Amino acid sequence: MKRRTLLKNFAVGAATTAAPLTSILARSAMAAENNTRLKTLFIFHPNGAVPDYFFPKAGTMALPPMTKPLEKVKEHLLFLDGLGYAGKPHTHEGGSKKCLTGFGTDYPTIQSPHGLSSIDVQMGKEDWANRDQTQITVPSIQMGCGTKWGDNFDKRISFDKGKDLHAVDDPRILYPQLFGGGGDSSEQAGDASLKILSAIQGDLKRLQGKLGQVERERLEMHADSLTVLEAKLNPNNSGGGNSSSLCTNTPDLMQFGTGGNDALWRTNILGAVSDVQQDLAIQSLACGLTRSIAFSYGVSVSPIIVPGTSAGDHDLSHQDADAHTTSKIWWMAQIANFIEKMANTPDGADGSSLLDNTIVMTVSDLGHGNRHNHFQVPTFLAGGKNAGLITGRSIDLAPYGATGVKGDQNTNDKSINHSDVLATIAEVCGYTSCVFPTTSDNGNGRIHNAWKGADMP
Amino acid sequence: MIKKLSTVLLASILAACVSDGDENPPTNGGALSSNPSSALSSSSTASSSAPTSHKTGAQLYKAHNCAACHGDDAANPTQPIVFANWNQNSLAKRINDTMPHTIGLPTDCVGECADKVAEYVLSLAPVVACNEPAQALPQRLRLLTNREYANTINDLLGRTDGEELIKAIPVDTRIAGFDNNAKGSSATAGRVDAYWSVAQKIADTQSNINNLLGCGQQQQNPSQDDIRRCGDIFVPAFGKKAFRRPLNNEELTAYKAIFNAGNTTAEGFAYTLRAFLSSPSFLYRSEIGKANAGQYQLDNYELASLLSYTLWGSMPDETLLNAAKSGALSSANTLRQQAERLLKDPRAQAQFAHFGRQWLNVGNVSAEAKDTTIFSNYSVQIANHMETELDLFLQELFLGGNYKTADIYTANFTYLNRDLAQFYGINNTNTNDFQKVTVDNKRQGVLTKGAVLTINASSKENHPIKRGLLIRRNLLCQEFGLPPANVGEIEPLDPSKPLRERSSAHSNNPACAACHQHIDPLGFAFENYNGVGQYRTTEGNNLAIDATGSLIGIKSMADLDEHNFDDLQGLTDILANQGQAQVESCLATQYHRYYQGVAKPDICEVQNTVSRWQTQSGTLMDLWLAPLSDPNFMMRR
Repeated sequence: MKRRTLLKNFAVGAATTAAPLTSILARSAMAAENNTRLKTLFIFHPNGAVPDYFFPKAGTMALPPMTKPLEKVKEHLLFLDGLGYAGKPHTHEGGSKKCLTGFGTDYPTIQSPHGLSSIDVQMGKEDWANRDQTQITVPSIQMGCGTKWGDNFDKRISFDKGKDLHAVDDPRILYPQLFGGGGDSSEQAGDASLKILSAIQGDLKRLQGKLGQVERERLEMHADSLTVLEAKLNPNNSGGGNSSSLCTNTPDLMQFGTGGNDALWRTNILGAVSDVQQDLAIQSLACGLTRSIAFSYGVSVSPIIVPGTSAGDHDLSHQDADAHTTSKIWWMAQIANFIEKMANTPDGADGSSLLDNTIVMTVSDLGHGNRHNHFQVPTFLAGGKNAGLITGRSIDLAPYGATGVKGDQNTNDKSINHSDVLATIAEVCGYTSCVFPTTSDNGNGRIHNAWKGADMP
Repeated sequence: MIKKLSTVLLASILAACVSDGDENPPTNGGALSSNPSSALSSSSTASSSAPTSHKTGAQLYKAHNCAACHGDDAANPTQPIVFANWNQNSLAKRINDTMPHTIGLPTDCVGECADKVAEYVLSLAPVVACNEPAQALPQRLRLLTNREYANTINDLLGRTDGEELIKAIPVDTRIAGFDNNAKGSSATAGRVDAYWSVAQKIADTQSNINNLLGCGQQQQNPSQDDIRRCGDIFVPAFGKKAFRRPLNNEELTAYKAIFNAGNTTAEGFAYTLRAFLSSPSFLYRSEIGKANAGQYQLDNYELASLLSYTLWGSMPDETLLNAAKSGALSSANTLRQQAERLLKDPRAQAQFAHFGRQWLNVGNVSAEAKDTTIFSNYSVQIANHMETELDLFLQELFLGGNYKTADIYTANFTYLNRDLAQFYGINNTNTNDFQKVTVDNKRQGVLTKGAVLTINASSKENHPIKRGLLIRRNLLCQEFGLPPANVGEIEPLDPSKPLRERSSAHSNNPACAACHQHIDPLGFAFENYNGVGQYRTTEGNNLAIDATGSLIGIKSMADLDEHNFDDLQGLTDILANQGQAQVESCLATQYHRYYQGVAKPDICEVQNTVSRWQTQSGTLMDLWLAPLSDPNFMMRR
């Protein structure tokens, strides 16, 4: 079945309600059976937290002030206290860099064959290399809500061999990009597109040939990106995924107008953007577009004023715990909604939900927001039932960790490297190529026991 | 042995990881935890048992486990020792008072130990000697920034909607403040996808196609031959503009084939345009050059693009391309002539405002959330006016002709319209349009501009840290190490205490004071200007403003030269006079950052630029032209 879409009204930057997504229908109709392999969703929230206000006491699930909004989904959560980001620096920027990469900044620099690459990107690459089986259309997605002020290398959380990736926070741009197909209205136009793309790839090849080693990595990335585009344009591309009506859902983008994306971080629109972006993320996972998403709420040092507050998130993080709570609860409420939606999204013929098949992990750029450290980073896992994750608990892994320069805690405090968690997630999901340089020396650098219900890693 | 400082070593020594933690630390000072040592992180379990006098500085450095944080050769880039900030006395004191960051272990390095370790550490500082020629920049491809893409589209196709179109492209990555760093943005999947969609949109909405085709009046039902003939004209001519150089035979064949796939010439145009706009030859500007005596010399077309993107942020015009075609740009004189021509063109105005704004880190002012119950006269419109004021001011200074660096700080004019003038409490402008007006010294120079003041403030009040850092980092090019972790709680807002007093913890806690003694006093100089740039003489509950202070260490924070000021005017006068050499050198550094697209420009090259510039006339126009005479300008390695 040829894949054509009628999205003339969806010229980038404009927002209208779209014509039916025939490509998605086509793809899902071709899926032999529902594809329910495990997926991952990494959610960043900015400026750390206050540990006592974030983590329920180990062994209980009495949610303290900052995480109270998660009450309605707490059965799905596994709080992980006692995690630290290994290495220096213990700053906002250091945390942004470390939170999804597990990258060591100790000296001498701990190396990785993937350079500085985040888990979403690493997983995405492996899925893309195996796309005959995974049938994804984009390796991974970097998106978010309120990511303005994140255009600095120091503030990004997703990386591809040292190149930082922008988290797209404008659904009017993201939606056509993900679900827009080739945008060609006829077979001839589709053929022309492929010819054009072929000419561009030819140009790139010539340039690569001429330059040899000069800018080799950059041009390789460019070539990879053209391959992703080619898969999107190719009429014979078939995808796998949920055949539910979810995949033809078109979000209401008109509410955001057709103006620039400058305003999508403003307090009064943040909730609406969050809602639509969540739906897009869920749609992407459920419909098999990708298996790995990094979703960034705000960015490190975010000055965004969230609803219910009158000062920037970062300013509040440097006041007392009660003040910081007033903004943290908004981000947490968004995450609660996100998890609830996933729990209510069917995924698979066996009655599983998308949440059952997805491992959610929260990260932040700091542990204690005011103290600027990387200890007791506000992390919990969610979902993953079909990955064997036992939730509805709060555990403290610190006693099983090590002392030392991890997250700048005091001499006698122990912690577990958070990259142990990243590595565990990658293994549980069956990835074999992911590397996170700073997994713990103690134990085997994993938390498989905690995963399956134990109190220890 | 004196060795030339390489950029690699420079990168590892000069502060790599100055964090935003410095820029946005607690805005309210106050009582910190009473036990500062409990706030310090622990790293070491080593202890030293032999008497200090028997050990060398290097041995003591090792014995006290300094390497755990700072590296074996004090070169850990993530925990930097900023050598430029220390001398023997100040470093020995720092070590004595606060190092190592260990709790309860008998490894304090005090007295003689501190002296020796300080001496050893300073001996590791690289010696900069500029008696050898600097290394040329590497061969590279520079991806067009979104702004450059927008300008290029407008110029190439006679459009005006470039700025609107680029909103679909992921934002550029800024490195060291500039969006055109050569290692910044990359062709990620999201970006390449966006280029494709935008190209399609452009093709779908392009008008004036016949003119752009340049092959005469188009027929309703052209034959295949008609189409081919048109393509043979259009592809080389337009392609040369699109790629900013002539197409080679392979390219001509490929693109003509695309053109011929159309059923009409309009269709052929659309297909070919889409191909051109997604081609790496369009998206990257080349700095590859041709082999020449072991290096690579940029060819004339590459030089044309280098000039036009630096000075206009857009593609070369016909004149520049023709000069390239004739090989004239190989002559230093012609290169300079063309550069002068470009600087006088209106297209340079917007580009230099862009440079200035990035230099000063003044982004989108209206995006700053401000509490309008506190700042009741402030509005998005005022914010936009402030941006206009700053842009016009910078353009005049940078390109107006005879201005010098000092004028940036002391110029007694600005640009106002009625609303902005009223907002500032000046009643000298009565038009909706902006006018150049003379102002008194309360509004002299760039630091009194509303945009600068508003960006460097929080939603409710001033931010002396941001303002102080603006001076140290952006204007004096001085760097800081990292802030300490675990510093304790901050005192909440209290309108009965002036901001200066609420920030006093920065000076009281020695762990904080090491850096904040250099930042806060400068920030307090701005206290006569509130969080939205209005002038005031009281704060909070009618507390008198105290904007006095001292700038210590103009060239380096290790120096002890002290310059007192009573207010911001006093501080800007210091920058313009006693600080002239340093602010000139820093501006040249920032310009190098911008035109070379590197985060850490070569110190010696910058020095050469400054010499050349000051020998010429010292005007800002001559700064923009000074790098052209550098022997490395045309060379790559």
